[in-house]
Amino acid sequence: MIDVTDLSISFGTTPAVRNLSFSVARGEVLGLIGESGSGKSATALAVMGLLPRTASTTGSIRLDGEELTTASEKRLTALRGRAMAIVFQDPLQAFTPVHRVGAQIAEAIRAHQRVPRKVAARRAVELLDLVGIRDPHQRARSYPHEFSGGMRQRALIAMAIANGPDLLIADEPTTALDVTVRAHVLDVLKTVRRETGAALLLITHDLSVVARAADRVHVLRHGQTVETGTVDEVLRAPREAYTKTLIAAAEAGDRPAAARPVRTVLEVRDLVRHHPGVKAVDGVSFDLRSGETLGLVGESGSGKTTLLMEIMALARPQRGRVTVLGRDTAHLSRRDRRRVRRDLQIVFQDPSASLDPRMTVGAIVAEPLTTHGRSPDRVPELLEQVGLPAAYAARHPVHLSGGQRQRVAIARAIALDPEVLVLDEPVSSLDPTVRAEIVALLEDLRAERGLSYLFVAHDLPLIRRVADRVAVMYRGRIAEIGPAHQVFTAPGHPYTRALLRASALRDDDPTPATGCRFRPRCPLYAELPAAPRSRCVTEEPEISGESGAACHHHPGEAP
Amino acid sequence: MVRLVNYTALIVVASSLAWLLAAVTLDPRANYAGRTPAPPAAVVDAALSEVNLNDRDPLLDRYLTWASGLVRGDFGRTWDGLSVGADLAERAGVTLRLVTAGLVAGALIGLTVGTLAAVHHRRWFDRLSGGVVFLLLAVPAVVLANVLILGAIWVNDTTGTRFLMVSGETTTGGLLDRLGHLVLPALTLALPLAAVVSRYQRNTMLDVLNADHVRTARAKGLPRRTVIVKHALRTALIPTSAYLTFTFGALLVGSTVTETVFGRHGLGQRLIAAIRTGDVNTVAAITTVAAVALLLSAVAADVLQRVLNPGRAR
Repeated sequence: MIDVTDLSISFGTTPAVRNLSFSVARGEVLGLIGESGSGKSATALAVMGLLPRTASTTGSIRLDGEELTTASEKRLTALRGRAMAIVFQDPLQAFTPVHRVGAQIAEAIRAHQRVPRKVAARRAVELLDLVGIRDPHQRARSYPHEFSGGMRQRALIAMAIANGPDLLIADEPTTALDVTVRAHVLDVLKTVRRETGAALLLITHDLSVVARAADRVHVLRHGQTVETGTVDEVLRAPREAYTKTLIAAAEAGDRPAAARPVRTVLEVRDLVRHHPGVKAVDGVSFDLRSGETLGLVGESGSGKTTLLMEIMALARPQRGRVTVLGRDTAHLSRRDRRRVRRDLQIVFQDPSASLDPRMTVGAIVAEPLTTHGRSPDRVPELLEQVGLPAAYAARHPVHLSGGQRQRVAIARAIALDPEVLVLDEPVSSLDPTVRAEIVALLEDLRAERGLSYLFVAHDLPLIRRVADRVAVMYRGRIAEIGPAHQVFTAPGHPYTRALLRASALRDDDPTPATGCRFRPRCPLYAELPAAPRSRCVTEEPEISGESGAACHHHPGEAP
Repeated sequence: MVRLVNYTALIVVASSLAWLLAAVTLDPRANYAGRTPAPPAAVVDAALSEVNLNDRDPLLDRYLTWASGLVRGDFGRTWDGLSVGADLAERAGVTLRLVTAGLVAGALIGLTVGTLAAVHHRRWFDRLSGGVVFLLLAVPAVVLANVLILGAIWVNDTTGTRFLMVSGETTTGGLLDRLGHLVLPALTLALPLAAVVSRYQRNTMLDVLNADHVRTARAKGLPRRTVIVKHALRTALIPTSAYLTFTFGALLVGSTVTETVFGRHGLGQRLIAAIRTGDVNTVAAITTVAAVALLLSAVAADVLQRVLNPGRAR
């Protein structure tokens, strides 16, 4: 179906792809895997003829025997959307915000088929139905921002298959999605391939996606092919060292279980934060002990970030209590608050956004020191501790890689010798191998300095590796909390089980007003007899003690 | 609804402050100072008190007289006894026609030039329009007006017609005649506005052209023109239109130079004259008109945003 031979792409003098060759047959799924910068996306754009003007390509791309690299713009316009279609990453940005979703799908149909508006609109609704969007009539009239991330990704797939393309390219189709929704979208892609018989080029950096959905896999690094073969061959028995690193970086190992330390450094009791219309945090309790790592997991929108911000605010919460190092934040004087800030630091997800681009690395790391009246002499030493040469102090963040920037952010956070570090998805914007290095750095720092981590991530294998205890958040409450090995090997809450299996859960239900908030998505609830069911409807499940699951029917509790 | 109450309150505050400032700083008594024979002080006082302009009357009393008049729709009188309301009603029309024409022309020119410049990024049209924009922004309105007049004379001479007129609103009263009078002053207002708007539009358009959703539109196989108009321009209009609607209020009183050069008796011209003759009531009334116009354009901006950006929660 698609034959790529000796494809090279370069932007100016920078080569992005070198001598890449692959082909995908009808009905086949080829996984193109590699880290960011490996040239995956440039390849996808080259096939679609959508590379920016600054890019130059050599080699050959043939779709159904037709050469695309030399095709006219007019011919490419005719092929795009009809013979070949693409599903982009980041579905929030991929739809035009001011037009209704249904209208945008209908527009794709009418770009290639001479059908009346009404017919196209009806077909758009059918497509939304096909990709598993409930209530498609209503939903076709919604605007993109009214969709959840998973729904947008599905709608984008619907749009891509609107004209029954021979080749479907999916560029990181699940990267922006939560685990449970990810499984859903991959299922949709499978359905689509069955229905249309299209060749599917699946581009991702996530090995689990390839393992789940692809027939063959093609590993890319720095624009060059590392290894290629069937999924079984490559993932079970990789030949190349780089593939092995990739696989190792994705695998989990358990932390040994140990007795909990006694000193509590951060305690949150019944914390509530309601925004108008949204109960972002709705009664959360946990404690973090000295030297411990508490992993906090949950889907986007589960309230993780709001919870962190409430803790970092060091102010009186709407309801409930936050105690940092024995001090209740509701009764802090200005001076005490400054002192507590020193001991409670944060590292954000995106280091390019959390570092001021106009400051040098040295100035960034020195800032907390000078703010608290200390000497900035320690900057070289701090940089060294996070594995950066002291000479980097003179550089600006733009001249650093993503991993180096995150090292700077960590150096800034540990500059004041804090006791507690809040880590908000500290490695999720990084490539797998860099991710492993940063995690190792965080582990070293914790061991050396006896730090306590509140570690937020949606990457479950990562949490399993770094956390002593795990709290699973669901829609503003903790669904389950306990020692990591227990939560991962014997989860008590049906939601935790779904997360761990990465099984598909619906993602578009409103939160019920009473009773268990997980009820509409709960596989257990769906199978319960009427009598025990009523308890789920009327009574909000609570966690008693320091470990447990907020479920009326989990094994540890009498039914 | 809440917003409407807020706006009304804002108008009251703005015009009251304008009145108070004018009442404290302006000196209508000076109009009588140069007279020979000098009129008796008591006569001057009486004449000024008659029109509520006497600085020897208590400020609060004068303010209350003015405010109670305003509530009844009476803007008060000028120092020589004329009704401010009647005078301004006519002039507001003059300015409104001019500013509306200037705004519409400026917006259309600016949006078109900006969009084309972005689409032809770093090619000759982009560079040329960029140069013209900076030239326009560097030239004061009065120079621009006179250049336009010279151009108009040349056009009239070469075509042998007398279509483009440089003074007043109309001579014969016909629609075409009015248009002939309107072109030059409207362009004088429109060109600098278009210059700024085109830069705004160019920049938002450049951002949007690189946005993911434009790439999606191309990937669907839509023709280039459809992609640019329906997916890029349509989105880029949102920020630019917000800017545009607010320039209306500013133009309303900022068109003084243009009005003067082209002999149109509008609000801007009147404001300068009123400050010279110490007409506190006129100054306050023009401020009120400007405040109302500004808030109306805020409402218009709001409506426009809702239309351009549907379904978005505010």
